[in-house]
Amino acid sequence: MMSRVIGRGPVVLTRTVIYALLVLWASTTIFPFAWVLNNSFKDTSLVVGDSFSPAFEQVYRRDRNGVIVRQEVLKDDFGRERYDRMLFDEEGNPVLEKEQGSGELDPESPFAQLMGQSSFERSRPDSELQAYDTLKGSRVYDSASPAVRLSPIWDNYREAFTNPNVNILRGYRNSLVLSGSVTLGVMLLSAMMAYAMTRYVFKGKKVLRSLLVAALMFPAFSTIVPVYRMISSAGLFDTLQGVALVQVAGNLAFATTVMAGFISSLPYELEEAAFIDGAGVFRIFLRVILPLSKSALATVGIFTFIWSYNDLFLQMVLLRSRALMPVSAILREISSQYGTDFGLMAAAVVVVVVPMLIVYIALQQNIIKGLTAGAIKG
Amino acid sequence: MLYRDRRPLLVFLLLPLLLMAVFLYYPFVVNIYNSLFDIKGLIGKPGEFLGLGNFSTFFTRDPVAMRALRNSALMMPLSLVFQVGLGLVLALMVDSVRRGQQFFRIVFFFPIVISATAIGLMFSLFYSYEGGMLNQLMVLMGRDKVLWLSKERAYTMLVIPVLWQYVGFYFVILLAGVNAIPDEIFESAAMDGAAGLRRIWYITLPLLRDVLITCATLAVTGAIKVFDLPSVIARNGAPNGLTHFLGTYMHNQAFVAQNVDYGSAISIIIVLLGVLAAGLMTALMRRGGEAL
Repeated sequence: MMSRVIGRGPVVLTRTVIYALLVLWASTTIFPFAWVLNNSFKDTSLVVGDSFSPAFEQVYRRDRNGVIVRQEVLKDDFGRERYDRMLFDEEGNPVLEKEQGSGELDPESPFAQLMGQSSFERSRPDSELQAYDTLKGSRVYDSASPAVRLSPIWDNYREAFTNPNVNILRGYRNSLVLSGSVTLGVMLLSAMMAYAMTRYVFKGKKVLRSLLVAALMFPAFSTIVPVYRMISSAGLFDTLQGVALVQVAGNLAFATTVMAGFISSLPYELEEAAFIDGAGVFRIFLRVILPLSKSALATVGIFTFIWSYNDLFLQMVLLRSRALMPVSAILREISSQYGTDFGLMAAAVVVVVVPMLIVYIALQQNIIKGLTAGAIKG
Repeated sequence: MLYRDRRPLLVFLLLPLLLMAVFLYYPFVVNIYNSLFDIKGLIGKPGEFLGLGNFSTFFTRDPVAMRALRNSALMMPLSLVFQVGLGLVLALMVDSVRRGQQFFRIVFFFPIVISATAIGLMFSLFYSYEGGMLNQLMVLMGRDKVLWLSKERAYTMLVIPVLWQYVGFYFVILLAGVNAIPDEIFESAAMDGAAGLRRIWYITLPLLRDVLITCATLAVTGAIKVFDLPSVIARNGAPNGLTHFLGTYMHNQAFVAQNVDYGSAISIIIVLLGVLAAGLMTALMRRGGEAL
């Protein structure tokens, strides 16, 4: 294979320049997500004040006006960078636990009181000390005190999962129920329709085919008002079933087109052989056609799932109660309510993105193959 | 003989066709009907016949609608240049390198599988005036903070994430197209002395014509359907309805302001614009193809 270098003509792009440009674009897709991930482990005050520092093993200290004055990795006497529990005095200097509770000089002891305050400057009453538990990520000092912030913290994630107004876990469940049933429904129904349209000869087939092509051009905007009314009068407003029905209908045209393209390429002989062996049409559909169409079904399933999981418009219009909202709709809701809580927002984005990222990395071969096969042929 | 008995047809077609009829074709027709009448409230019945009154309001008496139309229409050339164009450049570059094709494909495509809602939220963290990422950068560089979503800038700042998200989509399609060109063609072109940009212009691009038509059509029709990102970053076309797109304005009119008939009319304009743009694309590309 010859190399395909762009250049040698009027514009010369060397391989290095090409790689540099490609890496540049790659970084525009990676950097935003890395920034969000990094900041999801920080307190909002830190996201706002210093969003570029890595959220690992850092202690952030603030002066009395709440301004971050310095950041550093603290080390103990043995050079270890991590503290299970760290205390600070009111001036923000770290007080190691062994100093405080060394046993040699207990400030409460009669001996110490005899010696006077001067020799125990570093031992303060507990109320003036603030500490952070780095392992558990929770504040062990008075929560009203703004003096110390330490990352990484899991508070944002805890908030995202436990705050009843946010409750992303419930959103996940809704998303899974909704997109899972839509995906199964679309896969089965589109296979049925595609099978009927490729194998049977019947009147109106041409009309049906152009209706399918037309349906590809219908944006959701152009059907939503009557759909909203029908769903409402059927008592399906604010139910996942209602959204699911509309989503299935909206995906059938695309899915049937893909399935029909595939099924029409399957050899007819297999069905004939099954027929001679005494199998009926439905048996052939279930036992011959569906197993042979696995790859096309996978493409249809993956794209339907991604589309349904990410679709915001229908969720926004057809659902009202937050308990039923899938993650996309929840994300929009909380962004208006908690928009200033940057730490929580960042964690919410991460929590919504990660499942898709896992699906994508696991299935990217199928996704890209399915996409290009459709587009290159069509 | 297997398919001579047509009774099973009913079983195969009934449910899918019923669903599509009820939730797609019927509402599409009703929607056209609704746009011609005065309707009060979300579940109100069609009242006085307005004819094309809603459409003339749209084109003559509604500055926000004009703005939304302009914003959506401008999205089309922008998508062509920055989504398809950049996707093509990236595809040609990735095709010319041997190592890392797989890596670039995975990374470039990644934003497409992420919901536009999440991306919208992410960019509103970037654009925020107080403590947003961009303003932190400005401060680090010793410059003044900027109101990124101001009247003058809001549209540009909204368009950037929309365009950015889909570059990888066209990149992947076009890369598959470039990869599908047989090596022999490039070899014989090299023997004839075609190299570099000349080869791209005279060999690669003409061979990619069909794929480019597909991409261009997807890009212009996709441009009209923009909804999620603006609806998260700039609610209700903030500031002052300047950043409404046809989709967000339709949603706003039908479901927030409850001008249902007017919202329906806007949605029909969206359909018409989509059909028009797709047709125009195909015609333009066909003619361009013949000229080559």
